[in-house]
Amino acid sequence: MNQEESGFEKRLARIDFSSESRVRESLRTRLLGGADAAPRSRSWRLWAPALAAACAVLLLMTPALRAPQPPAERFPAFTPPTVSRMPPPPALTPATALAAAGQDPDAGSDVETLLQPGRAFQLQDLFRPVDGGAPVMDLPIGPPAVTVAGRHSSSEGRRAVTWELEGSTFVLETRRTSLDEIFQTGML
Amino acid sequence: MQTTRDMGFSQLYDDYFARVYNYVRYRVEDAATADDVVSGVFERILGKMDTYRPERGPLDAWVFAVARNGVNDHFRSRRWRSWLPLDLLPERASREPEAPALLEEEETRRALTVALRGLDDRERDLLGLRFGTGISNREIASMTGLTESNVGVILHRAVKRLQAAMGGTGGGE
Repeated sequence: MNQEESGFEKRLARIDFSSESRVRESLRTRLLGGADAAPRSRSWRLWAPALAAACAVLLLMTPALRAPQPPAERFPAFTPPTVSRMPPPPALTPATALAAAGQDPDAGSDVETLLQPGRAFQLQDLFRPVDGGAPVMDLPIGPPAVTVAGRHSSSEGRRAVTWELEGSTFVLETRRTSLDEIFQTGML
Repeated sequence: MQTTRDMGFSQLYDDYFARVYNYVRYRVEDAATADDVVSGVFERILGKMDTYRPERGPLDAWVFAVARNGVNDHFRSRRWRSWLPLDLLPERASREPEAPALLEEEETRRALTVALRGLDDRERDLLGLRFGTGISNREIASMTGLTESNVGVILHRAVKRLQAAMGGTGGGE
């Protein structure tokens, strides 16, 4: 190794990126102050989007499954916008502003309202009691979640809802099947 | 030998933050992402402190193995989070004006960040371990499963490519 390379390596070893960190002190305070909460907040961040998607699935599927209607009405054909093309979701309206406008502040905490497609919400608002008050689960405030509308489709013996996200497509399908088919498709 | 419990998490945090951050920064694309990943790494360290056994290896190796796993998890989970539109993410704190004396340092860091984009993840991994954390080639070999000579060869080539990419900015002393 020549001297020039050696000098370059010494210079590399001296480069300190840690001055760029914006969380060094706040993270230290948080971790030393809440040893119990820390591991949960990390894992929560990983599976929170999946929980939000599951809530949206339940909400969107329930009316379609419970209320028998003619297929054309039950499954109106429309193309949902992908996430990238959707307009920015409206900001959550503070309770004081709603009260001033004569609206019920608690209406905004209703789960069905929260999960309206395109509306941003904090996950802990899903766990807020019906009569208002503090959420029953203490979750960290993070990037807001947003519900994406699904496209309903049906054919003989099959109903499905398809969510088209940026770069991914998720399908929830209801149809008659058999044990043979399940095992053949390698579900296990 | 001191255990993490003896040292206390506070001491461990102060001793390792910069080295963990530097390692992570070698592997991810920007400071904001590094902050996220490093937060997760120290949360994990705090949660797993009791599982560290000094007889199984030095603390350095244990901490940086957690950091490596944290970065790998970040790359795996990025697919899940990529659907959130950028305008929903909270704005990052704006950077304060830098003092003139720090500009050269920042320029070097920026040049290194750009140069690292031309390397593959394994090269960035090894460079981060060698120069971000300061551990030896032998320790890197032990952590990565490569031979020590293989680590040396990969690092040698990666350093040459970095040096070429950074030109005068990262050159001699």
